[in-house]
Amino acid sequence: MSGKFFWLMTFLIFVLIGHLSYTLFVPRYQVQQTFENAFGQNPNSDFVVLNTEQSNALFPGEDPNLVLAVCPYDVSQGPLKISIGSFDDYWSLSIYTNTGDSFYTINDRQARFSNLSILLRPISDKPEDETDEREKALKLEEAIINAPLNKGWAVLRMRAINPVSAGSVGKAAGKFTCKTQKIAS
Amino acid sequence: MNGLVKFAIASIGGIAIGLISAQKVIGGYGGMFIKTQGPWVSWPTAGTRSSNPYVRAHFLTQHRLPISQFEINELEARTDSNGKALDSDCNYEISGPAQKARWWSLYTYSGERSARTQDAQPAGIGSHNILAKTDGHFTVKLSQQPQTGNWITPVKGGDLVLVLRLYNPAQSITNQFNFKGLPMIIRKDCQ
Repeated sequence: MSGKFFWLMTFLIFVLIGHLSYTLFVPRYQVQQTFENAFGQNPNSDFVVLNTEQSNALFPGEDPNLVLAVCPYDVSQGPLKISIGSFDDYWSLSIYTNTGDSFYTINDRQARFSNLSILLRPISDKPEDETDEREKALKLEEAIINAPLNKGWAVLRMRAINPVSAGSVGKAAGKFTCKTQKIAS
Repeated sequence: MNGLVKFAIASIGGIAIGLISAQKVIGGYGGMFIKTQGPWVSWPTAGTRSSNPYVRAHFLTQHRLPISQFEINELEARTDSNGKALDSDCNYEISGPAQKARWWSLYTYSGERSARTQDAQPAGIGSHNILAKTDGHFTVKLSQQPQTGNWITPVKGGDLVLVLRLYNPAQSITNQFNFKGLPMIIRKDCQ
């Protein structure tokens, strides 16, 4: 009887290992590989406006009414400054860690200023008291976001009301910037 | 030797059952993490802080980054309103009231999203270009043949997935998951 119980427990432990491994690690690995293959090891390289083939490959099932632009980042090289200029239709910006977790989203209506500026920094750079910093950021019309992980992707989704307008929307997205800020030595 | 065989059965069998059970839960089997309204299925905690590893894995295994449901609420239908699997060779009529969102879009994919060919741009329509009644009620025809009024050409090739996306959905959806008023999908004739 104790032998049967031992083998049953062994079986259940392997069920748990298989179940958790697949749930926790395989999806993260898959998405990291997909994006690293697409953008290489070249983070903070500005927004890359995706063409139809790239959109289909990187964002299967994405709405065809949207133009997509991606900025791979690595804040260990310095904070990242994202600037979204004026655009008269719907847009949203989502920032992801490289494990696929979305930790910040903003859209055109939520942005308080016509030219949105976001400073993305490692969570290790977050000061204990953020009061002064918030006031400075407000004066500079800038949002400061703490990235839970150093690497990830900023994804911009912009509406193109028809396929003809997709080109001009893509050009507008190409003007938005995503650059590493130099740290004063 | 006997013990080695038992260990092999326990380990290989256990891992296989673990993988299968994970795939089932991630796929929505059991309905633990999904909300349904008629044929429409949503993963309401996707992309939010209350999301869990299964919801995240559901999107990542399809090579998709989950979007905050407060920003975009995505609903999928793989069957019509009578429970029959959608078929790209059949004609459908999709009708409903104005959706509770800033704007919405409706489009199709064939089979598994990840199996989509790169040149197969999905046909879609949205609240910004649809012909609707003054109260917002709309009807969209889904057919391989040209149709009058609002018309979507489904991607060819067997199983079909219809996607409804609500951009900046109303609080009744984001907070209470109240999906009442989603479009009906009625099957007409098949080729």
